[in-house]
Amino acid sequence: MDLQQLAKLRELCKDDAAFEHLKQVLAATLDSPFIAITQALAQTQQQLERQQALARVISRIRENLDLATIFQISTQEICQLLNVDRVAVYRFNPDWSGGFVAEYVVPGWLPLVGPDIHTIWEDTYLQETLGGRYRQQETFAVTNIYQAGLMDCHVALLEKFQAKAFAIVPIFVGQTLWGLLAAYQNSSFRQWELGEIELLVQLGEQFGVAIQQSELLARLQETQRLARIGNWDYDLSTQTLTWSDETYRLFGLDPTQVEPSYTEFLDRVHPDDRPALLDAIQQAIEAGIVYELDLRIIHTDTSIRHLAMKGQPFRNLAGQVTRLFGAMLDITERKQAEIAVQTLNQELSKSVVELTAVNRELEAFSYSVSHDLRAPLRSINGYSQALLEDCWDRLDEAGQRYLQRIRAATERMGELIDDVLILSRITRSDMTFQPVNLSELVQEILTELQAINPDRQVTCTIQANVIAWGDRTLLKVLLLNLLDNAWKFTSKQPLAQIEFGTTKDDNSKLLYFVRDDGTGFDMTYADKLFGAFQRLHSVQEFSGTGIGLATAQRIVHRHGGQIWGKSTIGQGATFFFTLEVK
Amino acid sequence: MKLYMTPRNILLVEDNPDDEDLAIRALRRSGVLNEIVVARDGVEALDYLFGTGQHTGRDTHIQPAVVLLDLKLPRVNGIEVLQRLRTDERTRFLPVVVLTTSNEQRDLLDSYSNGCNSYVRKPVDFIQFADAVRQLGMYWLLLNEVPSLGG
Repeated sequence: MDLQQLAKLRELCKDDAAFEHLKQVLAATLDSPFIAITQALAQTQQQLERQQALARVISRIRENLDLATIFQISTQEICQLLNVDRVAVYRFNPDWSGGFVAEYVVPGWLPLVGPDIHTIWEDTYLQETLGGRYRQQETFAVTNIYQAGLMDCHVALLEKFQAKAFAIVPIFVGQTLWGLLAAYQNSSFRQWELGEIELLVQLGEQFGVAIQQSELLARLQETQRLARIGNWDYDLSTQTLTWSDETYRLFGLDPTQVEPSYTEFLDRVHPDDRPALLDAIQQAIEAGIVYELDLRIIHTDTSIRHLAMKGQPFRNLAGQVTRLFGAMLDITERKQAEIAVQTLNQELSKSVVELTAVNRELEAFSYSVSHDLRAPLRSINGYSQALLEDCWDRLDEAGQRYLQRIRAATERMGELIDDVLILSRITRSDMTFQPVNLSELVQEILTELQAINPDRQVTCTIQANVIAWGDRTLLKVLLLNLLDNAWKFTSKQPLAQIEFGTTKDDNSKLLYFVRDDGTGFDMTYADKLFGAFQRLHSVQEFSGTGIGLATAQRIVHRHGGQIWGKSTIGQGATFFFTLEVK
Repeated sequence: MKLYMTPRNILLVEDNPDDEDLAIRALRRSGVLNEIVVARDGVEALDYLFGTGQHTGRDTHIQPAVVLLDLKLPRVNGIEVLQRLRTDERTRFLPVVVLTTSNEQRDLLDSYSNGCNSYVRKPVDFIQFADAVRQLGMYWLLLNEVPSLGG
């Protein structure tokens, strides 16, 4: 037993007494078991070192999320750990062809991966068997490539790689065979130990996890970029802040130029938004209150982005806030739309104010018209009347007739003024919406018309309980005008028919109608029906000022509806209207 | 003892001379013999009723039987006159008939809400006027003569 071995044994004992005891035990035994024990000890030692190295590699893998970095660091570590000449990562393509994506090779050997080196491993076996043995999670270790029964082409390929022995394990991402992790011995043939293969298997598994995480991260980053959502995480104990890539972009910063920092962020926040933000952060740290606020970020090009921020404190078991994390969403477009809506609303309110002013002027104008236009008319009418009454006997028949004509003309002008005023009043009157029973209104109006003209024989058909939503007063004026027309234009029928009811158009829209069997009108002039002072009949034929349908149309328009008439001369007329008030 | 009442006068507040002329003609033809006092604007009307301005010294215990009040008047308009009359003890119950030129709802609403008793649409004619007077229940106050219709 040499001194080195003895020193190792001493380390295993708790004190000198125990060591002495061990030495006696050993002296009592034969030499060979002692050697076996030392060998076992050495093996254990090696395994321990490997486990430590594995743990080191794994932690390096976990520290990084960038696959290229992970591969670069890990392949070098494995190479040194196993004392091989090359460690390479091979990736399958969807068609089971593939290539090396990363490697570490001891200097002096031919590199397989590099900026301008893309080595394709043409392996028809793997392609045809969709990953072959590796699909079954098998590993493949070869001590000597010439004595492993490999196919010639395979051996030729390995010779090209300068390999004499190799060990390959699969890399699975989830259930999918992603690629292979390969260790090559170029300098000599090599008898692989079971522990070495196990180590490779474990590393292959870790690679799988790392790749999966990296893919998830890439997907998350892509999602954040598309959704314009960034996230951040601040560890209060270590004062470390992390930003996702999109967070940098939302702040208008370059991830390669700037390190995440609280001040860097605050500098970007619009000065007016800072107090509220600082307050919220303080509340979150001190009282553990979640915060949510909108703020403006000023980019270096002075453009402003609006962000909706949300921050969440994290408490440890002792209840202290040790971490703040959160997310932000770019709401610039929404904010701009809101501002546009606000501007529009302001303009609209301005228009409403202007419109109100115009309406007031119009009202003042019609008020003045009603007084001032009437005054001279009253004088003409009054004095014509006085002449007729006071100087009757001094006027001949022609004189009397002229005066009568003057009076009739002034009366007609009075009517015209009245109708114009009614029309303008209907345009500007306030509306109170409520359910209105149109059938009852129609009944009332027709009863009144019958009372005024007791000699008329009119059959009225009224659909019962037609309820509409609208202004009662205006709807009554509407029906009055339509029914008055129907009544007037059927006056030459000895037995007239007037009908009120509802029907539906091709689109199932509800139509109200007033129908008569009177004179009707020529559809050629249908578009002129609703113009103020437009008449399709002479005053001698039918009385009226031509304002009734114009009034009716204004009422219908104020209820968001349409009105139109259909007729054939001599076969009556039907007026349809819709009311769209909701 | 018997009380002999002097027929009280009528105050016509009207700025248009034609309307004034025609109104007086209509009243006379309706058989109204009461004295008719004319005020040409709101200020004049208020001066007369409250004994101020050009009517300083008038005995305000004697008030007209009825005021016929046009709405559109220079200086102080008819509605303002009406408001003043209704807030003063001396004239609170004075019958006021508003003369309107149209069926302007606003005018009628303003008149009634300010306490007018009735309205007559201009030009004042006998039938309308008689109706208004009947509504006021003071037929006896005004009509001293059976009206004769026609020439």
